[in-house]
Amino acid sequence: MPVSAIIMLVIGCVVLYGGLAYCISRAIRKKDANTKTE
Amino acid sequence: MNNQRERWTSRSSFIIASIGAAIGLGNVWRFPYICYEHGGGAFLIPYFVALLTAGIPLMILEHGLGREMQAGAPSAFAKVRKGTEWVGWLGLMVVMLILLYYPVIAAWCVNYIIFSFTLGWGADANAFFESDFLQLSTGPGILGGIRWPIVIGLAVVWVGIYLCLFKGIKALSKIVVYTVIIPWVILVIMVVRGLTLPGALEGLKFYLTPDFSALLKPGVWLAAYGQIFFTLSLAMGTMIVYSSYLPRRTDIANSSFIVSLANCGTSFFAGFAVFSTLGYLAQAMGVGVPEVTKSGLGLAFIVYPTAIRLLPFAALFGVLFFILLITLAIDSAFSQIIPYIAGFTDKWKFNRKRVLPIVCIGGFLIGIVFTTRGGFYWLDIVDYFANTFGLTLVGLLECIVIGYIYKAHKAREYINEVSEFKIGRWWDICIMVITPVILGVSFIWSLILLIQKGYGGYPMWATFVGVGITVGIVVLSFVLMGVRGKEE
Repeated sequence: MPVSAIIMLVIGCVVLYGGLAYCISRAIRKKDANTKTE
Repeated sequence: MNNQRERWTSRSSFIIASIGAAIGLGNVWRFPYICYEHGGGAFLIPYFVALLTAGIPLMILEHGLGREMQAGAPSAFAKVRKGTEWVGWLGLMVVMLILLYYPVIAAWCVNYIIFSFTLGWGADANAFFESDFLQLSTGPGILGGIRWPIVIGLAVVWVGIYLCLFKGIKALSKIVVYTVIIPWVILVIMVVRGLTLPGALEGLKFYLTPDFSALLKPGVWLAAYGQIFFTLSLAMGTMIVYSSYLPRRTDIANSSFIVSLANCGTSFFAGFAVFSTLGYLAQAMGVGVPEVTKSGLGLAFIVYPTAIRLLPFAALFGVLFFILLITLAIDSAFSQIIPYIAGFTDKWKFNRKRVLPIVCIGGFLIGIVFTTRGGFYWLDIVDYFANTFGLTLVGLLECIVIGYIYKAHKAREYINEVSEFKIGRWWDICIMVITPVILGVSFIWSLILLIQKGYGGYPMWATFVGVGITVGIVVLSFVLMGVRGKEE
C-alpha cells in the first residue's frame, strides 16, 4: 500500500478512535469523581 | 394513563441507544463507496471538517433541545416558539416516510438469511436479486403482484420491532446493548476475515489512497457534509426525543461527541470489511476493483453475495452479513418509531401502549406497497425525496429556529451548565452560519438538478409524485400544528 494511504489510515484512526477514547475516558473520570463526592 | 416521563436506566443506555440510532445501513453500504469515489483517503479531510462544523454541533443542538424541553420534537419546538411546532412535525413526517420502506429492506435481509444457507443467489446475484427475488416490473407505473416472501419477511420484522418496543424505554435500554454490540462483533469478524483474503490489500489501496486534487472540487465537500448529516440520523427528531428521556443534570456535549465519533468510527471500520472483500472479489474475477465497486443496495444484495459465495464457509458468512444488516436496520427502526410516537403522546397524551400497535400495523400495511414488483422503484423514489429534500429542509429550519429565534448563545449557556466540558462560540457560528449555508446550498443544488434532469431516469410523473409527497408532508405538518393539543 502507498505511504500516503497508510498516513491517511493513521490520521483516520487517531481522530476517530483517539477522539472517542478521550471522550469516553473523560466521561468515566467524571463519573468516578461524582461517585467519590457522593 | 401515566403522565410521568420515562427515563433511560443510565447515561450509558442513552449513549448506546443514540449510537444505535445513528449507525445504520448507510455506515456499511454508503460511506466506504463515497470515500472511494471522492478522493479515497483525502475524503477524510472534508469528512472530519464536516463532522466538527456540522455533525457534532447539530448533535449537541438536538440533544440540548430535547434535554431542556423534556419533550419530543414538535412539543420541544412549540416550547421554543408556538409557531415553530411544525418544524418538529415535519421531521416526524419525513421519519414516517422512511419508516414505511426501511423495514422492507430488513425484510429482504430476512429472506437473504434463508437464501444464505444454500447460497440461493447462485452465480449471478444480480439476476437473482432483480428477476427471481424482486421480480421487478418494468417501471414504477406497474406495481405488479405482491411478493409474498417479502411480505412474510416484513411481518417478521414488524413483530420483532413491536416486541422490542412494547415495554418502553427501560426495556429498550437493555435491548439496544445487544442490537448495537452484535453488529460490531460481526463487523470485527468480517474485517478479520476480509483482511486475510488474497487481494485484500489491493481493495484497501482503492479505499485509502488519497487523491488530494479532489479537495478542490466543491462536490466533494458537499458530499462530505451530506454524508455526515445523514449518517448521524439528524433532523429526524430521534436525538431530541432520546435526550428528553435523560434525567436532569446529565451531560450533553461529551455524550454528543461520543455518539458522533462512534458512528463515524463504525463507518471507517466498515470500509475495511467492504474494500478488503471487494479486493478479493476483483482478484477472483480477474477484474479491477473499480469494476466490482458499488454502493447501497447493489453492494448489499449483489456484490457482497457474489463475494460471499467464493469464500470458504460461505453460508456462515452469508448469515452473519445479513444478520449485521438486520440489526443495523432494526436499531434505526427503533429510532424512527420512538420520536414518531412521542410526538403524538406528548401533544395529545395518548397511551403509548395503544399507539404502538397502531403504528406497527399501519406501517406494515402501507409498507406492502414496497413489497410489490414495482415497489423497489417507489422505495428508491421515496428514499430520495425524504432524504434529499425532507431531512435537509428540517436540518436547515432547526438551525434557524435555535440559532436565530431561540438564540444560539442562550442554548449554548444551557448546554455548558450541564456538560462535562464547555463549548465555545465556535458552536454559535456553526449553528447560525456554516451548517445552514451548507444545507441551503445542498437543497438548492439538488432542486436545480431535479428540475433539469428529473430523478433516476424515472418518468416525469413519478418525479411529480415525489414532489407531491414532499409538499404534502409540509402541509400535514402545519395541519398537525393547528390541531389543538390536550395540554392546551
